[in-house]
Amino acid sequence: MKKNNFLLPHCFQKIGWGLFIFSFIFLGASLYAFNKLELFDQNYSRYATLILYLILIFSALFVAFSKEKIEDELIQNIRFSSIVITAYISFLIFMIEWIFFAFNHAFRFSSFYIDLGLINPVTMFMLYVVIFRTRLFISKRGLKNEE
Amino acid sequence: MKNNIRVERAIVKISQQQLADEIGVSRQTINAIELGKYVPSTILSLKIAGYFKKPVEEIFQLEEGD
Repeated sequence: MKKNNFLLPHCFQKIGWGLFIFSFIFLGASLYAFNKLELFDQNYSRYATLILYLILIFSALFVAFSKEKIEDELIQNIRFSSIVITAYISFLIFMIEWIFFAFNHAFRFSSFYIDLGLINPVTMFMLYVVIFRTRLFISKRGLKNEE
Repeated sequence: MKNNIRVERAIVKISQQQLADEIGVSRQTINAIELGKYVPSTILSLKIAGYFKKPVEEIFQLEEGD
């Protein structure tokens, strides 16, 4: 019996990491080049940033939701609980950020505009990857003292 | 839930890795089941029992409170 788990094939993981590192470096570099050094026209900057950001989001998705080499039920179990933990942490960060923003706005504590946008697709996927990998590592570490 | 996979493994003299490969799961899964950290699905328990050629009840037993 085979059930569909809606995950991408394993090879997407390597592609995802490659694209992620590539777009991360280039996005940083291009933002620096466009905004600080002002090497190019602002119009080019918008397109380049948009495309690189799209690649970044997709690569983060690939990394987060591609199958492991052996995708069995224990790993799926870890995956599921990691998603729940990620949802809680994201919600917490979002609420803290939102409360700060709302208070700042409502009472005018400062003119400093806080909108960090900490929770976006990329950070959520990466938060999930970190949680999932850590828990996978912990479950693998238990293997050493067996047999 | 209790299980005696470790004992059964010792009888047939195979490692966790060999059993995992035979059934098509990762070694972590076999390890976690042996330690009682993870309760396998019906499919997986049937596969394990099938590998040792024994009924499922001989390998997996309910504990008090299950």
